[in-house]
Amino acid sequence: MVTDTRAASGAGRPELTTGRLRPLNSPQLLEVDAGANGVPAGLYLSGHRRAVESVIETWRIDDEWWREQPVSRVYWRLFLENGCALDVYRDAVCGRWYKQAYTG
Amino acid sequence: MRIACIYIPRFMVEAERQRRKEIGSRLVLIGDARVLGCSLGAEAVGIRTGMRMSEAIALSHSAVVLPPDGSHYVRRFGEVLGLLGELSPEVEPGDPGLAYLSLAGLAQRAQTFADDLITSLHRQFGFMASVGVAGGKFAARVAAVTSRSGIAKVVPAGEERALLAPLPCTYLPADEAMLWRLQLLGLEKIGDIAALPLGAFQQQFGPQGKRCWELAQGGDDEPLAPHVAESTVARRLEMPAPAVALEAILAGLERLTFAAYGDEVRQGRWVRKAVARAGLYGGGDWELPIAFREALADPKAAWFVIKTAVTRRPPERAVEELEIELVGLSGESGKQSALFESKGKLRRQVEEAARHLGANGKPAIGRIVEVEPWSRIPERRAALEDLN
Repeated sequence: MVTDTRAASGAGRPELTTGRLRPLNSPQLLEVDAGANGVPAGLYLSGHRRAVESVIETWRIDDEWWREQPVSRVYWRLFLENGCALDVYRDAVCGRWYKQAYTG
Repeated sequence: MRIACIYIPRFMVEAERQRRKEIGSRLVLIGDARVLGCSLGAEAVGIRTGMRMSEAIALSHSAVVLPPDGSHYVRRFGEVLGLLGELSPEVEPGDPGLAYLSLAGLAQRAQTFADDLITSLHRQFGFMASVGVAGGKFAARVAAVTSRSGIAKVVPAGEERALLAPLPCTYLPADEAMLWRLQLLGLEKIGDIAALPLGAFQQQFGPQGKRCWELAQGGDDEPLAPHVAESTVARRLEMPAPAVALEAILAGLERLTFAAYGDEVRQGRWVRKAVARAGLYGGGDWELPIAFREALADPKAAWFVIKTAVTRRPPERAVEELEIELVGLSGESGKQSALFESKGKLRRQVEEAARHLGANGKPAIGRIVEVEPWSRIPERRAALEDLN
């Protein structure tokens, strides 16, 4: 997995890891093929390309705009060709794609 | 109270001779860096317990040197204690080869009893013991130790002082410094001490001196500390061929664990500890005591703990024989019941698993704790807390 300080720290926050606490559900860097309109068309999981069959839902989070590294993400819940659903987001600040489960 | 002392000289050597017929009548040395036990012939050439092994071998080139096998000696002596326990309700074990019996309420003559005891020990276990009977533990032990094997010496009541008087002071429970001072003062025999006034002797040697003076008078009011027989279940398995692979050893131990748990002696009781043993190829034993954190009634749970422990510390050589002994059988689980039993049980199982998985130093199981559950940013909502 690629180390990404921005993802691990949750952008702009000190790292959560302490002696007894470990971060949970950290974003993982992902390679995504996006079309000209910015909609993901395919992505690479464990070195295999998976085509996106359909977009289930999309939403945007803008937060902590007053910090040095604000949080600005566009989330996509995708339905892949292998029958799995996956949550990904594009970091609007740095432009990279990440995989991260989003609940509630 | 009349007390009998049973003494089996050179017990370790005798136990080794019985299981290693090939050493026959050769001189035997038992120990590692130092001699822990030696045969009579080795003593005859000047070898003593505590001597450096290199010195002992220099004195006797032809001696067979054996590594000490403490668990085997304890087990064999346990068999002897089992017989003694059938003869008297109060048996106090000493070092392997030495035990005391209370003769309170004995119907037959002490001499007959002691003679029969020697015969029984020889017939059943092949050990030739000597027995001393006296009014206290110290006099009984001295009577036994100073008698030849196969002889029972009964000291008539009140004659303990006369028995002890001609013997050297080294029989007394005195440390080296005291023995050295006694020698300087010309007090060589126990009778020399008995003839002195207590006040003067105690002034010189303190509480230790008082104790030795009282023993020299023939009196010994030290009570017996009876051995409490512990109920155990053991299962043994001889491997068809010496096993080196851990998988084969574990398979054997698993079978033994389930068999031992199924033994009717256990009668559904909880088990607090298991001891895994192995007879090693080429001699020597391997032993691994495994104390359960909580008493376990489920063989699967016990096997999980045993397997983990054995995997961490497996036998270092090929194994010829395996044994599992369950000890600390208890009618109580030792667990405090939870208000909600199902939750408590689950929690115990998780904690037990976490303890074993995390034993290698790396946290293996965690608990999810909420950090900012209201956050819109997913990684801020919860974190993993190490359970170990």
